[in-house]
Amino acid sequence: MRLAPDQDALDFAGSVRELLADLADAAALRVAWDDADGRIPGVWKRLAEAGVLGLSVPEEYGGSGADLTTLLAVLVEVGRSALPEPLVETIVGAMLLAEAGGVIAEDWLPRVVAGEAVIAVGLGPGALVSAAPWADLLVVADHAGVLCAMPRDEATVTTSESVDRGVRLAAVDVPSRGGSAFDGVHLDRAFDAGVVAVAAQLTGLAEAMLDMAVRHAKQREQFGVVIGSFQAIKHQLADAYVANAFAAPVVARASWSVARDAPTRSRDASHAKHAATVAARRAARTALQVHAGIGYTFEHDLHMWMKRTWTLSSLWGTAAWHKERVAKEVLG
Amino acid sequence: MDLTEPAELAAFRGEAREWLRSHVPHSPLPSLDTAAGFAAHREWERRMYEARWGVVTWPEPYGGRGAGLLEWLVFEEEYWAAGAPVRVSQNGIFLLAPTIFEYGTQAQKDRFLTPMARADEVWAQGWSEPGAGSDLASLRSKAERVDGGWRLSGQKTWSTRAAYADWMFGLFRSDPASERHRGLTYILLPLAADGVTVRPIRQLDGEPGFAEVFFDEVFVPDEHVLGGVGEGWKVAMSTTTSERGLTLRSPGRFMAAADRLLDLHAATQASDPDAAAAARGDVVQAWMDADAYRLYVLGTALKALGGESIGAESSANKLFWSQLDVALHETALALLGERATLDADPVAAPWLDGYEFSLAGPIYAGTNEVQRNVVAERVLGLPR
Ligand SMILES: Cc1cc2nc3c(=O)[nH]c(=O)nc-3n(C[C@H](O)[C@H](O)[C@H](O)COP(=O)(O)OP(=O)(O)OC[C@H]3O[C@@H](n4cnc5c(N)ncnc54)[C@H](O)[C@@H]3O)c2cc1C
Repeated sequence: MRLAPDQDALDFAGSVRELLADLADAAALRVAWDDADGRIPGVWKRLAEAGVLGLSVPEEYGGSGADLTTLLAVLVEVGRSALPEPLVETIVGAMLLAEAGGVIAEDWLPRVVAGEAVIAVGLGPGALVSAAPWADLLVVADHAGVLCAMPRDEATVTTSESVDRGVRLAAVDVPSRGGSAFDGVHLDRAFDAGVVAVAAQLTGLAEAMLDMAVRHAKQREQFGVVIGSFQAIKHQLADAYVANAFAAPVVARASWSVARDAPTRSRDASHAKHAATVAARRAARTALQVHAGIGYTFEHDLHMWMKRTWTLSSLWGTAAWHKERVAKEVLG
Repeated sequence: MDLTEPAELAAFRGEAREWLRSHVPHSPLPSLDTAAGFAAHREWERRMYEARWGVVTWPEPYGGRGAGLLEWLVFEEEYWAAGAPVRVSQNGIFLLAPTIFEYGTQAQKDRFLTPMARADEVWAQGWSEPGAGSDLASLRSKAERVDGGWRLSGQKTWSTRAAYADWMFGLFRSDPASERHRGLTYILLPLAADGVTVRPIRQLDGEPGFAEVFFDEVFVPDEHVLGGVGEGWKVAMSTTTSERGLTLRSPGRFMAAADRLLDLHAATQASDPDAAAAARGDVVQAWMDADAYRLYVLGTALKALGGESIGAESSANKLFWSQLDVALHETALALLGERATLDADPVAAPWLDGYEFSLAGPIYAGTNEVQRNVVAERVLGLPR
């Protein structure tokens, strides 16, 4: 038995971590945040070259056909770097297309693998579609509630500005087409994959924020000593660490349940999103409290990680929504 | 990643389940805090030992099955799911025995392990003293060198099950000039020895669950020293920092409690729908946390089996299970409403009992404040 991703997956994630440290450090993030577009130039292409975008695309479309347990470690790294790119949306969109098959898959999936197409999807309880303004292809429900795929310029996309400048959230209005490319496609399963992918990002975000806070606690001095020697600081960091340490295996298990389409898939995915959200929000609050004044500024990097945490907490179902989804399964 | 239970493990699970199904007493044994209850729990341990289910992780020559960590976790899941009795010999088989396997002489292994596993000899832990709780290294009970052995004097306290136990493993200061964790020796002694006085202490629930133990010139022979003279701290720490720290409280216990909580919630839904609705979020939280605990321990066990060291992670572990246990029982009491404190109510009493016990979790085995220090210093690297 093994609860961690395979060694190959971990090694691959390690290389992605290096790539992101190089191309998408905090300074690059800042530029992206100030930029009208909100993306980091060139990163998407590099992710494609590194094989990240094709990782879960079936081999027949030029991808590597890996499952969510392999993606997991990469997604944690993406979270750790607070990367403002439409990765989860595109991965889930590609899953839907691959399952639908046919012309639409043949048209779009090789482009996804090559880093030439972004997909945004509208699944789950929310009305806003993340990454829609960036997308080449939208997979969203039409007026009749039927899931359909269309190029973005055929839909009306209305962006709402978010305090997280590294995402683009939009309302998408599409005319009814009277038919879906996704008949028989397991939408719930794709939704659960997105949920777990976001949960993995949240655990990476939490790790990054805790790292920042611990680093700060070892440097900042007050009363003639580093603040990390105060128990009040130690204990809140320990508690935040424990919360995230116990969320991580729940997220890992959920990736397995989704990959294997286990009977407990939805319950496990929701448990993962709930645990990861609660842990990441706690890490964010703790990191802010440990940084105190400097953490409450726009100048310090922490706020970008914190706001990404808020975004990912609210997308793909909130913690409360997922907790109730688990409750329905467990308590009826 | 691979979370499929291997066939051998599933077979082991099936075998354990089958045995427990046909042997676990149908009605609960009398309380461990009475002489009759203690005897009944010893008898249960003996039956388990004879069927080789008592000490599954021990090597076969000592009555075990040489089971690994994963099998141990599976056995515990089945054990608690079957509603089997608390383990009267747990101090011995879970805390002392691993230390004997690591540090004991062959003669000590031969002398102590089998009677321990059969619960012919039940062990109490003698670490805490009135002046030495969290700061265990400040302990003052002493062992003086005499011909052929040691003479003990001083006092231990809060010693679980010492009221009815037969033996104690304890830490004593054997070098009078020493300070802190130097100059301590790990000693095994019979509680019936001359000069030992055991005074039971009533716990929160009113029962004599632990005791204070006085030593007045108690002689113990050299062969009852475990590990080297003056090495007591190192020997004692092997009990807390190894994978045993990880498995002090197995997930099976909390999974079983969480399942009982679901039953209580279902029953409350019929009798008091408002109370059930109000507790819904807490019930599912407790269930999720028990599940998370199972996964964390599984992940850590798999790491340990893969050769990784897991030292301070056991502190994170202890923080999580102890808080989970309190929250789970508080939720149960909330479901019980005004019946929560009725200790003769057959539904409420076990929950109340469990709640009182859960409240000790953040205190024993290193308080949670001390565990947070350990996580902060040894995992996160913050300065002492
Ligand atoms: C049910 C139960 C069973 C027990 N069984 C046994 C047994 O079998 N054998 C045995 O030897 N002992 C046993 N104990 C004793 C237990 O190990 C001690 O109670 C524990 O180590 C704490 O010591 P103390 O009670 O003296 O509290 P203290 O050490 O006095 O602590 C009091 C408070 O101060 C806090 N504190 C102390 N030091 C620090 C610090 N450095 N940083 C932050 N906070 C600190 C503690 O966390 C606690 O909240 C048992 C206790 C209980 C409740």
